[in-house]
Amino acid sequence: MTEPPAEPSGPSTDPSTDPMARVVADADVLAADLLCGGPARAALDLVRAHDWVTLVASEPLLADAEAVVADLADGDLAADWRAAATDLATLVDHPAGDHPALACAYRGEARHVLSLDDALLGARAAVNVRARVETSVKRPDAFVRLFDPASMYEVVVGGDYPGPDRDPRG
Amino acid sequence: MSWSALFERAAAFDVSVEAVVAGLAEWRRERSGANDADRPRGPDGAR
Repeated sequence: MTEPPAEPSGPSTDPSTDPMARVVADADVLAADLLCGGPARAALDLVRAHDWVTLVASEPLLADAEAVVADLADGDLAADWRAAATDLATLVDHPAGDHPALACAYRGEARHVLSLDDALLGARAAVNVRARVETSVKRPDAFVRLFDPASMYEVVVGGDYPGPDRDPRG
Repeated sequence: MSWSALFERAAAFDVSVEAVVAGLAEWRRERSGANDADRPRGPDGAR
């Protein structure tokens, strides 16, 4: 397997490349953001509200979420959501057989994976994931509690946190 | 289309988080086959 590029250290000249500011939302979180609101939307609002926070995804990951939305809502909404999500996310490639969220974290050097899947969230799963990918799988509500944009801004960008720089619902 | 507009359209559907989780699990099972869908696979293909 090709190793991802070396991790940058300290405030980056391009904050979007800092793994601490790169987030993967598994397809269940992406679909729940759209269809359910609640913690999933609060978590992704944090991403949408900050230009220096990057949502990492892949075509297979977005396809999974689109399929769920099409099944539970309708195909038109799913297609429009896919277009918006594609605009928002930075897409990476990964082998077809890989778990999309974990592969995105690995290929996209993202330190945070948001999921609602107990198979990824359990203690045993965490050990297995951390053995292969330097990332942490969290429920969206945990991410909202732990991800403090002000302190993260100091680390990733440097300087005083100016507040949200994008409309998360725009 | 704005996220606000998408959320407004989505609100017409009464979907629970549980349904989303179950829907994704079913979709991935169908896609990858029932034999090995229950365990997550790492980015290097290992389980």
